[in-house]
Amino acid sequence: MFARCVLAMGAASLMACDPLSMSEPGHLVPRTVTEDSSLPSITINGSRLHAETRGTPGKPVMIMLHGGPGADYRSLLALADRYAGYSLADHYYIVFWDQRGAGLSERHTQDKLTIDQYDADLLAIVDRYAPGGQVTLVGQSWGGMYGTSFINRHPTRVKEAVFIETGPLKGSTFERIKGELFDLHLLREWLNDMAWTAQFFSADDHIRMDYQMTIGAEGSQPRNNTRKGPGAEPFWRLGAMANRYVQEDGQDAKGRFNYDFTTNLQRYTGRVLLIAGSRSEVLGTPLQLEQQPLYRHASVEVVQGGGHDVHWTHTPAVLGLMRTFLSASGTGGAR
Amino acid sequence: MKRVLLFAALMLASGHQRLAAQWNLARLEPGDATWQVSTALDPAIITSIGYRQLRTVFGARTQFGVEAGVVAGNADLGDYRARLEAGVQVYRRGSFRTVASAAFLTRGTSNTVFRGTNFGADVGITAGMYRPRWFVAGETGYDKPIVTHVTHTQGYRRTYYADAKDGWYIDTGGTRRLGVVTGTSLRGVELMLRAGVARTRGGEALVAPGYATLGMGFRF
Repeated sequence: MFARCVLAMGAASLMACDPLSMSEPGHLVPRTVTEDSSLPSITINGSRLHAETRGTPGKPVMIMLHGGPGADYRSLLALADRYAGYSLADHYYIVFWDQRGAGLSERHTQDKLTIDQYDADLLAIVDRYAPGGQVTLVGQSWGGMYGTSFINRHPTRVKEAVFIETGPLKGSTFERIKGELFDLHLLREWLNDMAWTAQFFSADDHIRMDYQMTIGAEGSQPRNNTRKGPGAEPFWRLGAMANRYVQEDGQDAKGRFNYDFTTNLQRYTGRVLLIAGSRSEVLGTPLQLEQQPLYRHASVEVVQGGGHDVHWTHTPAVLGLMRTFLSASGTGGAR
Repeated sequence: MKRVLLFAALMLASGHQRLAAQWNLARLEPGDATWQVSTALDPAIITSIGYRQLRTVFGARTQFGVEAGVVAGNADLGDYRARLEAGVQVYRRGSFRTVASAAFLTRGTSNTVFRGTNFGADVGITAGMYRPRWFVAGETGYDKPIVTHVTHTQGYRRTYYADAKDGWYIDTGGTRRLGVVTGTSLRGVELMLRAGVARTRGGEALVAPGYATLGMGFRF
């Protein structure tokens, strides 16, 4: 009886249309660079990365680092637009790229998704666009952590840096604030929605893992106070395995964050601008002020009304701060 | 959980105390019917109400049932599950019984990415000791979404992927489970506890890696 019911319902449904496969690239999430050769890409350390540039080759190199781990650079593109006659692209050769296993870049297994591998990737990109030279780093959220980790390991390769809403630079700090950052109440709708998807599909491949991660993206960190609905920060595709395994690489065997991106940071003599959104409750002003002394020459600026997505919702204000900061070194354009 | 306790209180307060609560096959006779309420993490927090009746079919003790539940954290009832099931006692030796079950399910969801409805099947086997006042058994099973209709939200198209495909999806996966179920009669109400681990068809952990159900049953 039950088999008949199932077969009857299934047959009726399938007769009505052509059934789709969730594992088919392009159905649930956009294709990556390995599935769509028309996407701009570069190959770094054997991995094909979604990447594009703005500005003119030969200008000082600025490398953008998106958040996550596992997000993409789609919303960072706004930082290359022109506001009030000013554009970073007039002064820099800007490199946008989706990190390994993230956005529209090639997907990888756990062994290729480590902090060391991420560091090697960024070093290879710096070498590709500024051989033997220095670059300016711009990072948002995890991008600020990633950039700081790179400075910690390669202090001579970074001229200056702008980090927007940087996450915790030490595992001990992350452990302290993670209860405030993530809303893990068992009855929360985002958490139950995400768990409930197991009734509809199994997250057994990259496509379905990335798709499932998207369901929890909006509600998991409410105190970031990001914009919801029309005008929300856009993404192409999240990288679930990159998000999971890069984070796990910064944890001990018990799952406690134990990384430290600041062990060598005081040797870095370049300037750092830390930008916070005033409405970002956990990763905003208090955390940026707390982390400011970890760098030798860092300043903190706050964008009023901005949340964790301040680079997207308050782009002109963020660019104004960046312009002032970068002009001091003579490359960012005078005010 | 509040809904479960409220339902139990209403049943007790309305004169049902003399009903022999039952969720244990060993205490059911053909013709007996039971109501059950439960709260579970399976795979999200879901509160369900069910009705089951025992009959004899071709000489075998067979329990037919219907159950419906809604997921917590969503007042619009967009996340739900309904199941139509049958369980057949396929083996008995003394207090040891083996029950095979099959269910047809329909489920719905409404989240920030898509609205979905699917039809699926669940098959399982439970084997263990069934005594009049208690039972404990091991269980294993497989839940298979067969066809799933997906309609993506405008928010997902706007923020992530404008060209996401709406339609009927097939072969979207499945969930395996392995666990234990136990129950006891307590002052006229049968309490049931079920817990175990669940994995996707490919062996990946779910968002909630395990499942657990706390239920109460009432016979009439």
